[in-house]
Parts: sequence; C-alpha cells; structure tokens
Amino acid sequence: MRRATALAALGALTFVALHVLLMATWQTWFHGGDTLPPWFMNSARGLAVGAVVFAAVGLCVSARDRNPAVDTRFVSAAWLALGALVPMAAVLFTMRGGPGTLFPIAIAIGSGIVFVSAAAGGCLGWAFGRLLRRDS
Amino acid sequence: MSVSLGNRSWAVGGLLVVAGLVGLASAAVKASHVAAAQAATQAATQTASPSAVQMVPGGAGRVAAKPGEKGATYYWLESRVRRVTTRFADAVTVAERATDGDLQTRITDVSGNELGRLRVDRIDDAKHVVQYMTAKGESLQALGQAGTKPTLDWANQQAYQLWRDGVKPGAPLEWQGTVMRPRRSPAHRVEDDVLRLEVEWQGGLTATAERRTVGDRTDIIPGRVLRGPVVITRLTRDGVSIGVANWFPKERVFVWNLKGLTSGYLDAEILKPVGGWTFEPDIFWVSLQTLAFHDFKTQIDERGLVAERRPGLVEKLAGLIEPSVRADEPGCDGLHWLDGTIFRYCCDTHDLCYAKFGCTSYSWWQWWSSWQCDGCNLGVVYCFGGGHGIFSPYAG
Repeated sequence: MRRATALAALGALTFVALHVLLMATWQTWFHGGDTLPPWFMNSARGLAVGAVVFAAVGLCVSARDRNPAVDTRFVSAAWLALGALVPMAAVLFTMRGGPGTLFPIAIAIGSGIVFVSAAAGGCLGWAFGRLLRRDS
Repeated sequence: MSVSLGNRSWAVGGLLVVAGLVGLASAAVKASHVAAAQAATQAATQTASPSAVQMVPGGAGRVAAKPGEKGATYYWLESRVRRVTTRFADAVTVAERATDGDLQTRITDVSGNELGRLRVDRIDDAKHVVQYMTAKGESLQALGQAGTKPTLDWANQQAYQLWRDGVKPGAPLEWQGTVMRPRRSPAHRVEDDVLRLEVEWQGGLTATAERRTVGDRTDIIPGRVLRGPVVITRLTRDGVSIGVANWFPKERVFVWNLKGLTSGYLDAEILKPVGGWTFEPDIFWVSLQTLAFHDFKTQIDERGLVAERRPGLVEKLAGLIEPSVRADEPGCDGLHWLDGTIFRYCCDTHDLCYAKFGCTSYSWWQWWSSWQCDGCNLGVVYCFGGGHGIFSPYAG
C-alpha cells in the first residue's frame, strides 16, 4: 500500500511539474497564443511532451521494480495515472475559462493518455531489464 | 454587348434575348433537379402549370443560391455598409451609397487628384444602369449585367478597371466575369490588384483588410501550420481595435478573434455538412463576414437569441464558488489539440446542442435537470466513441 501511495504521489507531482513547465513556456514552446489557457491537452505539442514525461517516469519506476512480471508495470502505471488525476482535475477546474463543456471527457482522455504513456514507458523498462539480465 | 447611348435600344433588345435564353435554360435545369428529388409524375404536374407552387421535398437539403454567387444575407449585410475605400497601387476609389440606394464612386490618384467617377443607378431589383465619367468630362452609360446585384466593392473595382483600361465613349465593351471591359481585353482579375480595403459600417465600425504573406504560423490554430498569402482584416470601433480575422486562400481557412465576443475558425472540413466553401471568398467578403460576426454575436448577447436556462438557488450558490464553470469556447473545450481533427465535429455539435437547449457544464452532474442536455452529453460521448452524433444542429 505504501508503494501505491508513493506512486500516486509521484504521478501527482509529475503532473504539477508538467503544468508548471507548460505555464512557463506556453507562448514560446507551445505557441499557445492568448486565446487558450496553458493546459497539456490544448496543444498537440503539449500533449506529446506530457506523454513523453509520463513515459519517462514509467520507465524509471519500471527500472527500480525488481519484479520480473510485466503485470506490475501496468499496476504502477495505473497508480501513477490515479495520482495525476487529482491535480489534472484541479487545474482543469481552476484554469482561465473554466473546465468547459466537455470536462468529463477531457479528464477521461487525459487519464487514459497518462496511463498509456506510463505503461508504455514501464513496458519499455521491463523489456530493457530482461535484455540486460539475459546478457549478464 | 454594346454600351454607347446610341446603341442602347440594341443593348436592351440583346439583353432581353439573352435573359430569355438564360431563363429557359435555368427553368430546364431546375425542373431536372426537382424531378430527381420527387416522383417523376409529381414533378411533371407541378412544373406543367405556371401557377403551381413548386414544392421542396423533405430531406432535399438547403436550397442554395446560384453557384458562384453570394446569398441574400450577404446582400442584406452589404446594404448596411456606408462607405468602401479601395486602395490600388496607382489609384484610390471611394464608393458611397446615396440615400436612394444608388452607388457613387470617385477615383483619385494616390495624391488625391480626381481621375473619374462612376455612378450606379438602380432601376429595380434586377436592373441597373452604370454611368462612367472620365476626369475630362467624357461619359458613357451602359446597362448593368443582368441578374447581378451591384455592391460598393464592385463599383470600386469597376470604376478602377474602366479608368485603367482608358475607356472612351463609344468604345465597344464586354463583360469579363462581372466587370465591364473593352472588347477582347486580355483576361485580368481586378480583385488581385486591391492592396487595401476599408469597409465602414454603422456605429463607427470599420473593417480594414490588407494582403500579406506569412511564414509558418502554428499559433493561430493549435496543432496546425498555416502559411502563404493571407488577407488580414482588422476590426475597429471609433479607431480602437476590437478584433481581427484572417483568410488563408491556399489552405482555405478563415480564422477570427473578436475580443470578448467570438473566436474560432472555419475550413472545408468543418463546412462539410453544408457543402464546404460554395463560393470563392474575396477580400471584401472577409471584411463583411468579420463585421457580420460582430453584429450577430453582439445581438445574440444583447437580446439573448440563444435559449438560456435559468439557474436555481443551489446552482446560483455553486456559481459563487465556481463561476467559471459555465464558460464555453469554440472547438473542443479542454481538448483543443483535437480542434483540427475529425472530433471537432463532435465538439461543435455538442456546443450547438448546449446553446439550443440552454445547457451548462452543470448538466454533466445535474443529469436530472434536463433530459435534452443529457441527450447532448450522450451524443458527444457516442460521437467520440466513433458514432456520428445523435443531435443534428441543422435540424429543428
């Protein structure tokens, strides 16, 4: 249970860090303009960066996981996504313009993207781990 | 088609013959369309008698204007324009509407010296006479093109073209598109010569359009690159900027942002349900459309033409805590990376559904408050899941 809580906290922190990065670079890197508020799903580039960040976190978590079964990577990804869900909803409801008329769909898709990215990173870490173990 | 005063009767006769032939041809085309839509016997009965009412069968879609021409709304909006100033490289034309609806254009060089004048005398809804006078006082008079409605923008372009061509009285003229030119002149689109256009509307509103060329722009529509030639229209009220609109002719994308009123974009994909771009937008249309957006949206905001659901006490209290929950943006709220994708249709349909039934973001969790709003939400979920949407904004 402690591991699950830690993973959820890591997911939440990762999302907060991602959002801070988006806020700081919204005009320069993401060409967000004035009309749209900083939000990772308001720009294709923001979405790509979010996916890469969570994949990297999933990979790191997977690298530290000693369990040889691939299933645990999906469980870790789910806890990461669950943790990210809380700041994601908070940001969506408090950002300029409000959550909009599609917010349940936005939250569902956002969580799905975080889960898939973290799971992909986790699976990649698991595959690398297996390769390294086989070589050694 | 002759245009000098002496040959006017021949011109009228010729026009009547041409108009008769065009009328016969269009009646034949119309009859074939009706026959395709209805049962053959029914159509034959209805077109046989001149007094019969021509029916439009259900499901036949919208009745479009003549291909290549703008519809009645366009001309109604144009009639509210007070003055149009068109700047070319070597001349400036200023067209104004007289109190009786006639049009007057004055051509000057860039220093302000008068080069000529053009006047459009409207006879009735279908006929008008064009009078052109050079700076030396030479004048010519011609019947306007049958079936076309003269606009201030057209008057400016026509005046400029006649001056450019150095037309003298008695010279044989012909129609090149909608513009009158000396017979056998090389083809030329006068619209391409327009450098800048100022459209003055009622209430101190002015739309100023210019042509530019831009490099790769990704900040206009997130996730989409726009480049190349662009018509930029700036909207001002009493000299203060209140919005901007861009038309990218290569990509065929129209983007607008009117501060605090409306923003969004249109492309062929979004317009697919109404047949895409059914006409070729020009620099004047871009200005007029921008003014129309401002006018229509201001009226909607002031008069509340869109249905609004009145909130209850609990909802009002919730609004104090989270007032922004009602906000709605054009496109996919919170998912704007999907704005350039096929999912845009789902989002726009959902927005229209919300506007039609007066729904807000609350409708997601207050599902008991309106089954119509529940329908909107179910529809958008179904649409995102691969369906085509339950609610049709073009129905009812």
